[in-house]
Amino acid sequence: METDPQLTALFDDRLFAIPTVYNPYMVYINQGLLDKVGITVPEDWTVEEFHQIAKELTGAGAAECATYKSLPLATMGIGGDAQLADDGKSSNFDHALWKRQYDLELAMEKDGTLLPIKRVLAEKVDAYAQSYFLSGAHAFYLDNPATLRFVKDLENYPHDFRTTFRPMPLLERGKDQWNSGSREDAVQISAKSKYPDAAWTFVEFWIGEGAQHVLTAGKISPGAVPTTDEDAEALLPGLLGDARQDTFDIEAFKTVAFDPALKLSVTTKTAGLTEIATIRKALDEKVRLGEIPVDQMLRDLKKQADVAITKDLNKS
Amino acid sequence: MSVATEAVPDVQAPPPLRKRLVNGMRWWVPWLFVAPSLAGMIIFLLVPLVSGLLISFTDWDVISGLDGIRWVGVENFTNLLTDGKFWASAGRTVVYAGVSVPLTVFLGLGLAMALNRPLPGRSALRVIFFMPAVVNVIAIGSVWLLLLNPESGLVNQGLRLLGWDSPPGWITSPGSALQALILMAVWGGSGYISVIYLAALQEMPQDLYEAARLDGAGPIRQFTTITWPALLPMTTFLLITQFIGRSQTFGLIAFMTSGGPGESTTVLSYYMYQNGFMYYRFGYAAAMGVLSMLVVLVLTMLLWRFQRGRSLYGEED
Repeated sequence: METDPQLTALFDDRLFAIPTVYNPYMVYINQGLLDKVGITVPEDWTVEEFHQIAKELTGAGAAECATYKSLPLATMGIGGDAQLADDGKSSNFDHALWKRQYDLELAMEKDGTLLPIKRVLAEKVDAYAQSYFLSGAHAFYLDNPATLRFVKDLENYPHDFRTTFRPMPLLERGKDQWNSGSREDAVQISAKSKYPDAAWTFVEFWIGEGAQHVLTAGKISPGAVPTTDEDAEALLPGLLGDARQDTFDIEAFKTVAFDPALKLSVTTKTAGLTEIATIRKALDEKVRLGEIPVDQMLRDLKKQADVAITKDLNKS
Repeated sequence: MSVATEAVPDVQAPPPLRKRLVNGMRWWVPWLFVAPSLAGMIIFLLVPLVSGLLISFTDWDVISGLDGIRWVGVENFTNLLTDGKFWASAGRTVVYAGVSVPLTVFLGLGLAMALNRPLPGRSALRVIFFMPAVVNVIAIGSVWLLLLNPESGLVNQGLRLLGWDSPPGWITSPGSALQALILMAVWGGSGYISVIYLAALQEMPQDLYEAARLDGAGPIRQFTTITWPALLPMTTFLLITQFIGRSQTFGLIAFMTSGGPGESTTVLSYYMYQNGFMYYRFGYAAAMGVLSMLVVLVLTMLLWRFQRGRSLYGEED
């Protein structure tokens, strides 16, 4: 039986929160651009092939950039706890995968396959960058099923290409790895609640019968992840909309999103993570702007993250 | 002929109504009149001030509730002394406020003097210059995002037309992001300052200028000996209030740069926000607030002392 808390979300066999959304990460791809350049993306593509295809798409002038986000290699290799060492008392940014991740990001920044950081800052692109993908400017969009709502919204995001899907690229072909998505939007019932039964009834509704109401927003309940093709087909009208035959590569979506081998992780070590996110953002901008090299960035990140973790642990 | 005079009864005239009211007033009645203002001051000024001071000696994270308050003495303050990010953000605050405030005030003065002259469309110009003071900060930021876009923005297009081949990256570059914010602050504040100066200029005694002209004083001499000394107390007031306001700037920075790129626009108020509302270190953030309040207080007192005895009317304080 699986005991890794990153998979089970159990701590000492106890469940502290119930995820309400099954959120696998996947690569949305503009099929029209692939056809234009004559590229076929393999199902088991590697990180290097991802980068190579990105270069071919932008080099041929088919796409302005390949993608807004680079690949979270460390999370793909280590899981949701990639930022902290095993003991949870220091950071993990001296792990080789972090260097590989930021080297790749910088290479993509330099060769123009990544949306340049100057444009990210000037255009205030934040979490939502679907407009670039749906306008045909970017070839890839890395996200969970939440973006389906934008792809099927032809009124606000008019586009005439079909969107196909591929799994997150492999760090090494033939080797097992994590999906950087997770079971998310966890809900907890307060221990002080006067109405725990009513709260439980609501949670049951949320992930059970009520889940159909949030399906149109790309929110798949962990309790409704299909195991048969028939179950998957039943989710498609809500997830992909009425025009799905024209808008989506349905078979690719089913294969990628509902792959039973997907390993979604839960973040179980949380000390200092909020501050580390701020530190990472600042240092990442400096690297991409050419202010500091990756090695210095990782040294600074490790040092500052360790301080943030210590502060958090001392407080608690 | 004798005139019979009617004896006037020795009765004192009743005291005026106001006096009667005051004399008969209960001691607590005046308090009723000041109670609304007093309550406002206590609730919105005194309580937060004292609470902030007390919180600065704790490690409160808010989410643990009142049970989570732990007294740590001066630990937050001693930690601040060795916190490089705190000092860096304080330095950026000094640069941001120290450069933008004088520029705003003196540009506002220049605008006011220009608008104080008979000009075609003067009223419309006053409205236009004042407009940034009443427009929502997000709307202002959105327009500036377009203007300062390094490639397509009007500012850099204009600079390129003037022959500057590599104009600044503005908010996309750590070297120029703070300058961009200073530019926006000066643009947004000088119209408001000009309206205040304009009111003062229109109240200036014209006989002083007439006498000066008769004595042969030119425009510059009139400005240095009459206008400027007369405006000095107001200028001091504006410098102080603007400096206090600028050292607390948050909304524009949060919207435009979120403290970046890197940490190049993480000023004190934004660093306080990060510690308080992102990392839930309210005690630490409160200590920053207390320390920065003390610094601003000292600067204010220095500035106030500087202008004493230098104004036209010889005000001592």
